Amino acid sequence: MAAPATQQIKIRCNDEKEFTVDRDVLERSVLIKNMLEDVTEQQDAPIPLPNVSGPVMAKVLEYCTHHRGEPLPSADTEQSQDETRKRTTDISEWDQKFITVDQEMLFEIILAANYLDIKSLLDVGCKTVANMIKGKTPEEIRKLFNIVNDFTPEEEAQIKKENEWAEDR
Amino acid sequence: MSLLSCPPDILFRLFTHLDGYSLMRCREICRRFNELISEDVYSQYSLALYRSCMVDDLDTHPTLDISDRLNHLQSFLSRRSSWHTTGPDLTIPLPASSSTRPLDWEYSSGLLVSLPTMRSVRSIDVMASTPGAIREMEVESGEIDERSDYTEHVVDHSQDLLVVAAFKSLSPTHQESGFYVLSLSSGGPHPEAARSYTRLPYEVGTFLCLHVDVYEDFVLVCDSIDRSWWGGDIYVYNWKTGETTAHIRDIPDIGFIFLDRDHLIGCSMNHTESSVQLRVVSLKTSRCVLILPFPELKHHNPLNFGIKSFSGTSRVPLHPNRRNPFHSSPDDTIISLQVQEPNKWCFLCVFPKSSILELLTTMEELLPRAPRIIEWGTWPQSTFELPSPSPTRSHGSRLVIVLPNFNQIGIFDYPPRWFMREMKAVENGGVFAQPIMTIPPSQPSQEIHLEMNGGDWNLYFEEDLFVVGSFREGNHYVFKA
Repeated sequence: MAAPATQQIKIRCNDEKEFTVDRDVLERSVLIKNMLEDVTEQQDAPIPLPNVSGPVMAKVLEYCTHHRGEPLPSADTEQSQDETRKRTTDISEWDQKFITVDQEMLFEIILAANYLDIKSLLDVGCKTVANMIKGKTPEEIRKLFNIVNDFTPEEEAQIKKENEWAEDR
Repeated sequence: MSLLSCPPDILFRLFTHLDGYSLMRCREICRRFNELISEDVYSQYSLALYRSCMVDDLDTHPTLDISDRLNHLQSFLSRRSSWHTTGPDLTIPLPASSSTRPLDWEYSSGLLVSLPTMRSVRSIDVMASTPGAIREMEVESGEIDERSDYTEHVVDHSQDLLVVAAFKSLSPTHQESGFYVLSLSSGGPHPEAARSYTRLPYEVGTFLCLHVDVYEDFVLVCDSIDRSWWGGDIYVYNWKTGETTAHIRDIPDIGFIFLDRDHLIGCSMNHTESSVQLRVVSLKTSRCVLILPFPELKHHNPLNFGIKSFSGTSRVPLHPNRRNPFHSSPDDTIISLQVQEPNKWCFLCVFPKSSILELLTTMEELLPRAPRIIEWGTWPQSTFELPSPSPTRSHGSRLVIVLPNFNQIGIFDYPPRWFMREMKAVENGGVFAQPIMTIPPSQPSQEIHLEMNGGDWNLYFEEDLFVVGSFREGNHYVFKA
């Protein structure tokens, strides 16, 4: 698909908010890239994105614009990324700043990245959440993410027991 | 939008960014997380790796904190550089003097080999006698250095092999260690050995602990630095050619034996956790491939621990041509023995060797392939309390535990008593039944007098026969159980 890089594509979010974006920026999303490749004729109608809201899409486009031009992960690099993923919870400085948002927005971005199939953004989001979880006690994690402990005391004791030997490591 | 409302596929992706420890914590958050982590293959994979402590392959399985390991290594290297020197490669001339106290002994297939002095090797054919009576067979003086400070030796009757690892004081500040490969029958150098003495590659200035094991053509020698920091290097030599076949550095614990040609298994103390673990080390990669932890055995202060392999399920034919049942039988059962605070605690782990090998195979397959959870709970292990110690004797007491066979455990205690207990560990996960027999020491032999003091004992067991020795007396006693 040798589409000109300057081609402008219109998208419409679930709150009717529309964006007109350079095609190469939008193609950071594998979902949209595939959609565009399926459509051979020039279309003026905006691409509907029923799962993404305007404010979230604005953030996602900010990310895609910053990273435009970077090679998309192929199947091969995805695999090698899998190997290094556990080792590196490092997030680049720009991404770090970009992802410093409230929890609501963070998870919206993650959901959008998942829906739009933008792996690098999804990983930035997941790494951020993982870093929030690491080193915390279950109670601290519950508090941070506003989760209710719904275990019975017996269930909790059982899991604690299973985990016990790993304490104090 | 919140963490809890994320769909499973996103949470699964999130889990891939968590190490095993964090995953375990996450299970405790709420039911949904526990269920998701329990059904997510990647999480199971991580947990399996974490639980099995496959930590030493840091490049591919960074499941544990690396900084701790680095600190550990750093301190080890800095200490080691201070005593690593090269000295003269020599053997001290053998003085003619001798002492009456046997320095060490080893039992193999009915043959008890002792070292009454550093220069002499005495072997006693236990089976050629009636119980209690001992036929001694003196062999000519070996090449063992009189001035050696510490020895450890191992016998392989089937190969006419006696390996003695010795720690020599060349001067108050100058020491070296090495091992001799000797013939049991002649007491001299083993005819098949390339050389009778192999000096270990470096010298040690502080406490040295040598461990030696033999397996087919291989001799294993380990050393440790001091009592406070268990650790050191392991060398595996081909005793016939004299070549070093493996050198494993900086193992943070000691007391290994051969599991098979390619693997060592050892028992060690995890000081961070204050618990006990078994390790399996690959001789091919020199890496620790498996750690089997015992979380139940936390916070016990071990006085002594070790690992032996005994023959288990089948009867051991007590024949000199048989391989040493303690070291090389393919049906061996691995036993980890630990003596805790005097007279208070001890524990025993029974591992069919085949299970460990099977587990190893599983783990090797697990790494590049589909994730699986390893069930640890089915492995028999047990902790049990021993009878109350005599209040009048607070020192010098020791517990000796042997396994006469798979179903029984023997406990030797101070004041000297011999307990036999039926062991249900194999059948029902490690519960010991009531004592089935108590033998007062006077009963099997009036002569027995065991001053179980400061390691002044040794005990071996084979089928219905056991051998107890006292270093202090220089005597050994053979009993029919």
